[in-house]
Amino acid sequence: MLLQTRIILFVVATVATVAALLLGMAGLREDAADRHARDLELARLETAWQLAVADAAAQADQGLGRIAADPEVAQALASGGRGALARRLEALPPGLTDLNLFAGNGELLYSSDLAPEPAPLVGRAPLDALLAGQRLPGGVRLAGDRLVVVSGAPVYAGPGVSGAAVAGVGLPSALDALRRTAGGRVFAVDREGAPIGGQTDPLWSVVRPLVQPAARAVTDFADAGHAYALASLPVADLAGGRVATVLVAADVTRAAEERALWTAGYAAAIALVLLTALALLLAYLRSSFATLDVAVKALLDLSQGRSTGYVELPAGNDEIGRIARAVEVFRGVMRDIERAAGQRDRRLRRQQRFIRRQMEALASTLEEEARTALLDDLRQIELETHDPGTAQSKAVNDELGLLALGFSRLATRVGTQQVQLVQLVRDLREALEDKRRLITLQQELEIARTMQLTILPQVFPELPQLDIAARMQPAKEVGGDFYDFFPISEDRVAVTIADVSGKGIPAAFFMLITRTMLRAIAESGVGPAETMRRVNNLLAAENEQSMFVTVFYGELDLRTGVLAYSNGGHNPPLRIDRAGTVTALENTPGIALAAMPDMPFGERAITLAEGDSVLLFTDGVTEAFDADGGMFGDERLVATMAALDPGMGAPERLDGVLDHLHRFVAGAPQSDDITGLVIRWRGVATAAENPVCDAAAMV
Amino acid sequence: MDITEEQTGGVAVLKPSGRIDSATAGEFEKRLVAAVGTGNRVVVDMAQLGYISSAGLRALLVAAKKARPAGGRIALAAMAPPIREVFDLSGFSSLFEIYPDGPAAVAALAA
Repeated sequence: MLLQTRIILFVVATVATVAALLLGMAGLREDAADRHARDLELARLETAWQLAVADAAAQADQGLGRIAADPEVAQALASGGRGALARRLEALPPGLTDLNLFAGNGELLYSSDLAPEPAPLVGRAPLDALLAGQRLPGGVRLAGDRLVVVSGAPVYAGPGVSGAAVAGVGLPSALDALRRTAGGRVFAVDREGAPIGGQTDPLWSVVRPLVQPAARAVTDFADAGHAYALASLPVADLAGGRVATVLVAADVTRAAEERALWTAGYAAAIALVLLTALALLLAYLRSSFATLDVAVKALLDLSQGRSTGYVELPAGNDEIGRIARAVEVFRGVMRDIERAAGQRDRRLRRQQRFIRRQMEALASTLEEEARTALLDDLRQIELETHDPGTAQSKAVNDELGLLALGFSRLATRVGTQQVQLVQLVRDLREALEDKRRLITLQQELEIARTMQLTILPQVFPELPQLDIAARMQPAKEVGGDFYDFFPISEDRVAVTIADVSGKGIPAAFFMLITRTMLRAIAESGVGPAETMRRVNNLLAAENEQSMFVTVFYGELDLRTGVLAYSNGGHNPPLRIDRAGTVTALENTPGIALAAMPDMPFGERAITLAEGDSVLLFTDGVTEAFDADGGMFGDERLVATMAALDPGMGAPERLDGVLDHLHRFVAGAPQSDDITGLVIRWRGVATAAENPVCDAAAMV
Repeated sequence: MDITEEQTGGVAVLKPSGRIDSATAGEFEKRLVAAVGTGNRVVVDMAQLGYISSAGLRALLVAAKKARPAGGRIALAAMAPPIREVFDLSGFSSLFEIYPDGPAAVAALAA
């Protein structure tokens, strides 16, 4: 419920209460005044009644005076002559209705009442007072069934009282007197309520039901358009007790009308005043609340963020004026805040543009993928910022959020790149370290290669029976091929070729060990198979790396040209005779050395004919590849051997084979050592002169 | 070189294809040793193998030496003639069980 409504309801309730109180109190006061007026009216009527009674009594006294002054009457009373009295008073004096004459002893001597035993008009006590010479005051007396106004006087005979006279006038004369003085319609009822006067008045039929014989009161009633006030006055007997009731109906039509008029006027005046006051109050409240409503609307507008709508607020020094001023101040503050917010937005946008430019600049330093992703993010932010549907401040916040997102992604990417860079630098450092180590290692490998090459015999002894040539072309990496040629006794020389599995330093070392062992054991002269068996066991004993070496080992008897040999898993050498026929040396039981201990090795022997050549080679020859991946192969090697001039010396033959091989490979990378050794048996006859010393000189 | 591996009846079958030379022998050795593990039975099916160098032989030797004390076995199968020649030449044929094809090798080892 609005405050306005509550105030109005409160005021209306208050006004209604006050009006009710006022009207109630006025009513009470009027009632009191009315009662008072009635009392006064009753008193007035009572006085009027007493005057009327006195008037009637005076009328009785008038007749009584004549009788009392009548000496005959006095005489008769004194003598007690009833007859004389009756005669004297045959005609009652005018105006009297009743007359009693008492003797001095109180005996009723005459009564106007013709009944046989007439009741005296007064009782014993007043009679005694009369006989004592006092006058009897006038009053109403019930005589039989009639009411009379009586008056009494003592009758003097001479100086003494001879008797007493009591006269009565009918009640109607008192009523008439009352009618005259009081000015109204007069009625009378006896003590039982039976009418005894005024019943001929047409108003009686109306008055009759209102009669209350014992009540002394004023009752209002209306008849035939007239208003009446009916006053009821009980009438007391001279001897005491109520004997009748006099009713006076006064026409109060005018007074009642006037009073009704006044009451209506009074109520109307009060109502008018109150309504006017109420109306004024309402108007005032409405106008006040209207301005308050304006202020409230302005506040509501402010609360919804509309500080721009202009509303005229009332000035003034009262509360509303103050509220209006406060709202105005508030509105000003809001405008300031909005202006500040707008400036902040613009500043934020400037900062965002700056940040974005910086981010773009930063992004350009990133690697391609991260930069593209980041620029995509920024473009996305750009798009969302220029969405026209979004409100200004919201857009700023969203953009900030997006920018923050973009920035966070940038940070992640920069962080990632930083980590990558750090890792790269670390890798680079390690790579540099590795490179340094590699260089060292390469130097060592170079040493190893040099070692490998230097331990291989480059120059062979000039032997009359034998022409020898050997060459090793190492692959880029240090390999494990080797060949050897050494004397084992005065007329025997050893020739060997071997290929160590694997490459690098371990292969080089393994090669060295193998060569050393082979030389040491071969010189003990146990023969090829046994030499191979022993070397194998020695090498296999501690071979953590599971390396192995294929070895062809032969011993050539310079006296006979018999070549005894044992093959440990190596490519069989090729023999070519003077006719150009190429045959592979038949294999012997055996396996690559060091692969497994306690392996059996066999040996064979061939006898070289004069002009025979034998080519020892490693798989670097047969497994040389050309650029297309084609392998040189055994057949091509055999064909090459066969194609060469059978009379060729050893070095020429070796060169021929290798030249052919190089032509085949045609510059393709060499993956393995290429090693070859050729011996050519010149024959025993040519060497017969001095074979031993030459062989010995070779060592 | 690619190596496919499958289990057949409790026997691991490794099928290397292409070339096993000094560049790929390390990988071959690793796979082979892993397959042998602690005493498994392994068949190396060489049907798809074009070339094997001495480094490849060494890888087989390493695996065989690891398998033997733990009771494992390595069998070779389906060698092409040039491959067979390498094994014969080097004497490695005497170190390994060699079967004409994969199923035969698996059957022999599973038995």
